[in-house]
Amino acid sequence: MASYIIGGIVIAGFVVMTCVVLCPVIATAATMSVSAGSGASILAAAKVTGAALTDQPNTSIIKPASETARGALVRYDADFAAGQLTGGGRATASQLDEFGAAQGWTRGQSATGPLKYEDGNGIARLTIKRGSDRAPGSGSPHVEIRNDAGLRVDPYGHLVTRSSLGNHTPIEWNLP
Amino acid sequence: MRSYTELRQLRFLYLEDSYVLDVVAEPGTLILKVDLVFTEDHPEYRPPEPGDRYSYTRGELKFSGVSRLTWSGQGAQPAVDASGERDYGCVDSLEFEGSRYRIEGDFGIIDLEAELVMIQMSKH
Repeated sequence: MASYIIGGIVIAGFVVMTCVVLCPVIATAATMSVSAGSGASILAAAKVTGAALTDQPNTSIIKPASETARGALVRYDADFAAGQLTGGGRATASQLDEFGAAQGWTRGQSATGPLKYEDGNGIARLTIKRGSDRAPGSGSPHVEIRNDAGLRVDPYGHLVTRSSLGNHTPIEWNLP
Repeated sequence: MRSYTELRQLRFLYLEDSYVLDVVAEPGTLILKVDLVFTEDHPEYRPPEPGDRYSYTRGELKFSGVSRLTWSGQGAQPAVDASGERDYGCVDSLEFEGSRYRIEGDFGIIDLEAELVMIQMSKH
């Protein structure tokens, strides 16, 4: 009888330990599968997982585990998320508009100027331009990105010169 | 107000992608130091170098005979690019009505009365 009781306790302990180990893994896998979804889900997914979204990791902005918020899978990084959204030149102006607002940045636009999002430190993080047919070669819609240090960067976080193509990331214009 | 493209001396510029490097306001004068983009129908136009969006010409946008000037919205942080140079974004808009001009960009909003506006170029 005693051996049955001991055996039961051992089995119950094994079940509990298995749950403790596997549940976080399952939860992580579920989150990553959301992250790898369609472009429409990038905004939401980027807010949750950040670094889980890429197959071209930018090591300069991935934070060590010791810097992640308690309970978070990866510390959120707005620069990284902006890169994920704009990489490949497929972002739309409305997605960028939504993204900027989601960061808590201040939206600004003059009557004839570009749409801008400025962070709390006075850095214009996104400048979203429609382009003009007055521009040489028909200026097309594009976004200029600055990181949290005010440096001009391309979608992959590389420093770029202001004149470079990397500072003029193509976008699709779908705003009025 | 009317667009700068209606000004004879500025109509060959594409200011919306021209970068402001500095703004200098002195008694009677306002100078914007700018990396200028010319439209294709100007003799100064050059095709861009490989990897660049445009060919830029360094120059100044100079307002002289300034009798009034207000400059609001200052304080935005300048951008720094890979070469380490600072800039204040592009000229988002430049409008005029008679002798009154209104210029807007990351550097703020400058509203002024001036007798003359002209560009001075220096190839960099």
